[in-house]
Amino acid sequence: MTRDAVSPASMTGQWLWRAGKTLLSLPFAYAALVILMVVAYFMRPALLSPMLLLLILRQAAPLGIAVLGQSLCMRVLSLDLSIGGVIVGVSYILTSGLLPFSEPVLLLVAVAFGVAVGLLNAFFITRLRASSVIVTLAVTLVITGVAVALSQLRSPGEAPEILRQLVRLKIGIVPVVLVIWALLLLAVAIFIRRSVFGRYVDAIGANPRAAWVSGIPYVRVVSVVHVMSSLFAVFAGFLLIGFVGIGSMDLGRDLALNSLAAVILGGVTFGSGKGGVLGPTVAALMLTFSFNLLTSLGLGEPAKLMLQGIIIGVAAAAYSVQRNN
Amino acid sequence: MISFDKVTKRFGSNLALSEVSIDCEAGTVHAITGENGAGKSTLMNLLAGVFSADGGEIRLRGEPISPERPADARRLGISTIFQELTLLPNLTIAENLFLGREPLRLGMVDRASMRRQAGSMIARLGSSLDVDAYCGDLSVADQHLVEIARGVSVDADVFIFDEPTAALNAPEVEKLGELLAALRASGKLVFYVSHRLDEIFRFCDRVSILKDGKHVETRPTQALTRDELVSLMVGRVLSKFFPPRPARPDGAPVALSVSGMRVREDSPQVSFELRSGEIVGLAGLEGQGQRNIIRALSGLEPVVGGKVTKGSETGPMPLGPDVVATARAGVGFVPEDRKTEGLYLPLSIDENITLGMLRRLPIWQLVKRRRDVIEELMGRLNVRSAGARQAVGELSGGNQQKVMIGRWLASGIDVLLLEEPTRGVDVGAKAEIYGLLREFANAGGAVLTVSSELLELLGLCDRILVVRRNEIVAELDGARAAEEEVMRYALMGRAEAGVHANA
Repeated sequence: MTRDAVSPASMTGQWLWRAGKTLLSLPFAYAALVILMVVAYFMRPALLSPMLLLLILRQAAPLGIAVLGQSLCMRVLSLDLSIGGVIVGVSYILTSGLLPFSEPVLLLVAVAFGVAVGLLNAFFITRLRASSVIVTLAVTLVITGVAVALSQLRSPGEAPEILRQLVRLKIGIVPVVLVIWALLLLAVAIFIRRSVFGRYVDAIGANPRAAWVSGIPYVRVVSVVHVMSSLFAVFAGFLLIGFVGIGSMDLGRDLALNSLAAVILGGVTFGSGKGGVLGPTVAALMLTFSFNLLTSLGLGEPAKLMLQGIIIGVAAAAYSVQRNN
Repeated sequence: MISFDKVTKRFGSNLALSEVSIDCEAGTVHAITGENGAGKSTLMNLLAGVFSADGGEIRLRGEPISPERPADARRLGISTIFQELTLLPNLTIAENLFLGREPLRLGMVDRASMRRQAGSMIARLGSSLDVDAYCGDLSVADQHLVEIARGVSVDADVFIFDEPTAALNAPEVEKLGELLAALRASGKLVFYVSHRLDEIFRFCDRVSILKDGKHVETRPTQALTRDELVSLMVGRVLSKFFPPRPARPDGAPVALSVSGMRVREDSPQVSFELRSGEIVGLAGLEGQGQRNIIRALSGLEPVVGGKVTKGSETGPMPLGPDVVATARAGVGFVPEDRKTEGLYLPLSIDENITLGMLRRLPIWQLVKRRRDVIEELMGRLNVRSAGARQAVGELSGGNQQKVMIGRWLASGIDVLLLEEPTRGVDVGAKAEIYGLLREFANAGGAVLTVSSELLELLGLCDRILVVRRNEIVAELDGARAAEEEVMRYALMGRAEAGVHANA
């Protein structure tokens, strides 16, 4: 009857210990978000007002959506640094007026462009076994180069009216953008958890060689992952262009690296499904909140750059330590 | 020169060498031979400092030695030419030959002298390789030549050649013979690990035969005939844990048909049929091409010519060099190395097995977790674990192997290709795995397996195909074949073994 002898106090202790352990095993982003909010509460309480919080949430949406694709890539031991390039491309397609189409057709062209970039990345990575970092970085450079060259001819202009309206729409006080983001998040979470595709993603992440040997369609799965990542980038681009109202060559420049940082902070490591899709999402919120906090403290762009650098550097070091163990 | 005195070596619970005592004299070429897994390489690895002995003593000129690293062995004057290639691909032949001992002039590497000396080392082997060629660009055979050149150029008294001729062609083997004779003439001791009878009788003075880690005999080669040597190598007892072989009805449908398949440009054609309900084994010595055949069938390695067709309800369908398509057509492959090629170690048992069941589903399909199916299968496989959620990496070797095979059994395939079905598995799990394979065959599946353990094939298989130099040289009835008969074909090939069998 030892079980009965356990006092209520020690049961509470056990419960606390277990809860503490669960909290500690949560991705870093959760704790960081809480800490940042506490800091904000004391130093810039205005940031925590519901209206500002909703604005920050809305502002986090493009990163949050791009992060969905990036986390998929990392689960299959790949990376997507072409997110920035895709957004520049989308911005040029939509705002330059080079293509004489109506707005809905332009949006479709942008989607097709995203699919093409995803397939191109996948081709180089799966067929030619090139490093995903180099390939996707090169793709970004080429797209940006082409867009800059074309912009001499015809500079980017006004954003399509559809997108400017879309980002302003609200249901009650909740921006539609947030609803779309939540739906995408839910769809990806269910798809990854329940589909054949999700099982294959886990298998490839755990042991790509075994996946190949046992006849899992490696090429197809990795291609779908990269196409999905590019499509999320296209959609993130739509939102950014809608926010800003005009096209620009700077749009989404730091989205690729921020999405990488968010995925790592969200607990996803190369080849593992840890952290799920919620971890990276919380990390995207946390990063966006931290940039706002820094700006409100008057630290602005330089501090933001340093923070990004430190996050990615620490994450890379943590990754290699983990791999060596 | 070298004495092994009651040398013993264990790997876990496995006794690799048991009280082996052999004396070897300077000025001889001493062959070490035996079946796969007899302990030949282990014995030489003790001498080369790759492993340390667990018991007994090795003496060099009467002095006990215990090299703990290959470098220790080299310092003692023992030079080893390993089977594995150890050349650095981004250095030239000359640079590789003199790695770490470059000739110096005024503190700088004397490239001219290095190239000259390297040239003469290569020429001694009868080769005309360019010493400025990068080793990464050489064929495997040429890399072996360079390895040999490097090994014999060392100032040593004892040389170990571990299967040196595996990749060499006839004239190169000839030159190697001359080289061995030269080493003997200069009073060196040469160990020649090989199961090639020709070379043992032509190059070697004495031969030591190992069997199951025990020393059988050491004799002068002149006092032995080929047949006597083969009989000394075989003759073990078949264990009782194999499932019974049911009588096979004639005319069972063909599950897999291979015609005129070649694994390399210059290899002979391979043709055979695999019928449903039977277990067929590919027997042979290590590295004779059994593995290439099974990997080609599984779609992992390309084939040069010929056709592989799979029988199915709707008729025969051709298979190409594509793993995904092969698996979808119902052919499963179990690799030898379960950790790197077979299992997803961080994933759970549940997830590992489920992956097999998804084989035919489109990737966007949503699937339910079939807990009940998994639990039922785990019971049938008798997987000992903490539950279906335990990571496969935490299981014992035998249970991992069962999960790997179980994944295919759950996937509804009808042809199963296996490489070493029970590598690194304890005896109890072995019997269970044999039972699973027989059950699969009895239910209409067809099994093709490669194993370096001949006894396993003799106990398990309905038919045994003996492979020698990428060719099937004999087809034997598994229930009636004797170890000696299989070894005869494996060692001597069709013509010679046939003559002896008739005599």
